[in-house]
Amino acid sequence: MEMANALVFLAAAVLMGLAAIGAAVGIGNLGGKFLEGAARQPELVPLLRSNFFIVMGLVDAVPMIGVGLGMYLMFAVA
Amino acid sequence: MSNSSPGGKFTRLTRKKVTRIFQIQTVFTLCVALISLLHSVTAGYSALLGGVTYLVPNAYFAWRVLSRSSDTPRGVLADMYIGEIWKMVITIACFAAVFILVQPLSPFPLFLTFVLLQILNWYLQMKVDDRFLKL
Repeated sequence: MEMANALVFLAAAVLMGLAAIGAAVGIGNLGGKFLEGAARQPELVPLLRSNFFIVMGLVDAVPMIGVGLGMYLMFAVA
Repeated sequence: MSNSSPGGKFTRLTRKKVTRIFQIQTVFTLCVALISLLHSVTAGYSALLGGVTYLVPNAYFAWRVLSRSSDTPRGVLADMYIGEIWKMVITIACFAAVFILVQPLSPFPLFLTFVLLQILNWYLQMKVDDRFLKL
């Protein structure tokens, strides 16, 4: 039984860890491209900021679901 | 530099779009909760909690990012990243509070509402912002 609990926590850790890696890569790329765009055309910063906000919501959706499932595994299943 | 102020044209437009999207998502959450309520009371409030768990962190993120006055790329980036970190913290806190404090809980409607709201967000962002459809 303890082994089963340990595996559940391990699964939650892997789930949330991979989600965090995905979010970090996606949002890091997004921030890099934003800075690139802002350096090329500083007058477009307000427009880029709006687009950045929108795309950030798209990028972090799946990691958020992963975090939710991980929390469920830790608090409700284990 | 009037466009880069908190009340700048693009920020104002985005704020308007985001408010509209939140209104649609709130109505959608209530609809899913009502449909789940037909199955059982537990399913109904679980669906509602799934919606609240999605809406609260996202509303905070939108408020934080779209109400700031940063007009330098560095300031905008800092606002976005700090807002995103807080959004994740609030999401984790909401999920933990729901799983610890609410008993009994039906996980299927909770996650169904949460995932459907994420998908609805994708769809509405694409639909509202036709720039993406031209890419």
